[in-house]
Amino acid sequence: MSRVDLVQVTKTYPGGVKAVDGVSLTVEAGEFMTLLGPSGCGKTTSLRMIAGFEQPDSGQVLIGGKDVTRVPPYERDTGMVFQSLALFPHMSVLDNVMYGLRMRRVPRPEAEARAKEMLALVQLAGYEQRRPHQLSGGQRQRVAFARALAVNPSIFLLDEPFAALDAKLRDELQVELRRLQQRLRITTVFVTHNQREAMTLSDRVAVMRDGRVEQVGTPQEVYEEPATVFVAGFVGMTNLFKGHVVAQDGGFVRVRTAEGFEIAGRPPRTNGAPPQALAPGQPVTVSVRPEALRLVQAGAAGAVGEAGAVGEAGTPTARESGEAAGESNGTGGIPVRVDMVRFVGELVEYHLFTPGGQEILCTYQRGQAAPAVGQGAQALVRVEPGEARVLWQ
Amino acid sequence: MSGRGLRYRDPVVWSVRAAFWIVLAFLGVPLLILAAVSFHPGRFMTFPPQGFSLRWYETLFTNSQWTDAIRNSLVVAFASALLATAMALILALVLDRYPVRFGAVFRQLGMLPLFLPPVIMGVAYVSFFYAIGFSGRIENLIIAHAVFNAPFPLMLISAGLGKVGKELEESAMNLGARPGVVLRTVTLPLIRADVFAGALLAFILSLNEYIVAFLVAGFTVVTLPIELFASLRYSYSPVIAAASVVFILGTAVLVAVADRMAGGLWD
Repeated sequence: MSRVDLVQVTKTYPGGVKAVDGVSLTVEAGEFMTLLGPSGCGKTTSLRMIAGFEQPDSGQVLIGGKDVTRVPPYERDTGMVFQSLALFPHMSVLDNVMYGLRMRRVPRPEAEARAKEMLALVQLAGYEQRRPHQLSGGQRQRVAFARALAVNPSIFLLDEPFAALDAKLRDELQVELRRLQQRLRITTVFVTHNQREAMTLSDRVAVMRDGRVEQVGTPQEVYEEPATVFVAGFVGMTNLFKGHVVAQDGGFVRVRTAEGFEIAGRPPRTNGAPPQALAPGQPVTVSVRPEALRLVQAGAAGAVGEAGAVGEAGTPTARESGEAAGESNGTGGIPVRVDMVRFVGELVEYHLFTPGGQEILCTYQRGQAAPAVGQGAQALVRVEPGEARVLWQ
Repeated sequence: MSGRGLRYRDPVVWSVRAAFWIVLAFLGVPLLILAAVSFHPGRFMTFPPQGFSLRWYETLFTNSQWTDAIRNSLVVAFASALLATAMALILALVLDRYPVRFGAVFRQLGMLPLFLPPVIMGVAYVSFFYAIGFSGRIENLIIAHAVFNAPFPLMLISAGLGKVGKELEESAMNLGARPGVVLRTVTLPLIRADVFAGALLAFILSLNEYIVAFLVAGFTVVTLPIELFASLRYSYSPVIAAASVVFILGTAVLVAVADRMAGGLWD
């Protein structure tokens, strides 16, 4: 159990593509950190730099405070689970799990006992003499865990190990992985492009894009306080509205969207820096989670006046405060047409279109009083107070 | 066996099927005639054979002219296959796993003997060996055949390495294995079948090879194909047919073994 530090690491591939571009990241001892991002964002390269399969062009990799940048993988003491799992097909399950111990010159009986103990830990006692191809996908996965952890590595690394599994098995193994990690208290770096997986497993998530880290935080922080438009869009579902700042009053920033509607939201995250004032006219994007939107039947709330704003590419000064100020939370509703209502088990999804053609997603939890609007109905959408987040563009 | 599929009554289907049997006849009938001729008791190859005799087989395995040729062929084939496979393994490992500059160019070089006419390769070896002062020795032929046949094990071993992939080796390194240990415990066991198949192929090809063998050592080291050719020139004895039959059967067995090995890698 040691901490991992990436210090300003940069890696450029021969083609000139910057796979990792000045990434600094600390994984605390015993922490479960997920590198989350789309393919090509540098998450796997970062992981491979920790394992020692890639060397950064510049910057340092520290494990337990020790600089290992130039240390080859076989001297690094990390345990890695590969995307393909990379179980040795010509060895039994037992020999696979013992491999790392044998490399460390642990005497055979001792190595065998330890390997059996690990197999029991992943509920595979009795499978010692099988070959990997005689196991199911989930069993192979557990062998890979056992093999990586048998040597008691200081760092546990996983590169999208669940990508090839079906959803149900993936869920089971995620729970199992988290349990294993917490029992062993091992520092873990997990790579995935699946934001749901990142959210449910991690202590903290580092959202990456184009070789840089966009935001590091707990799953809740990253979800509720996205630092950038990219993070807001990548982590969970969201509705993004481009617009301009109208004014900043109290804790909220009032934004007029491109279609001319007004939304009030909390100001951008400052990451500890003193808050920067948002000048009127400043282009921004407002992110509103689907569950933060509330749907009201048209006419019920008497906010029809807003419909006049259709198609107006909002210059903030053109239609000033007078008519749109209305609501207590700083927003008049947005008129929408209900395009589709989907029942998704625990959720009801409303797919809506604004007059300008922007698609909006609004969800209600099961048991919440969902509005009785059907396909084709006209309705109004409102933002729950304080749930919108204004982001720099 | 996999399923036979539906027997469609379609002109394309049945004409292709008919052509299949014709091709098979073209391939098989000459061999059958050869086999029949080898049992002819008379002194000249005759078809259909007038009687049945194994005397030419006896000659083949007792006459020192033939037994020497067989022995030479087997020695050259065995040694050159070993050498060819070793060279191919080194080339494939460096090109696929321990990259060097201009690797792609060197791979082409390794494959070159496949695309050059054997006569040119033969002349090249003769000039080379003559220039360095060795001529007409069996070692020369072994080296020449090894280089000449190396592309085949190179292809098979490279394909094997590709199939194995790099993650298994990285995984071994991650578990603490140094590169040499990775090679011994992971890479080589996994490409063993490809290495054997490549060696068998090089062995068979060396057995068959006439042109390079004749040019490099034809006047001092007589291999089976050289002896066959020489016999044809001065006589028309059925022993030639008998030698060919033995040759074909031996090759068929080896090909079957090589095929089985390359096919069943680890399941």
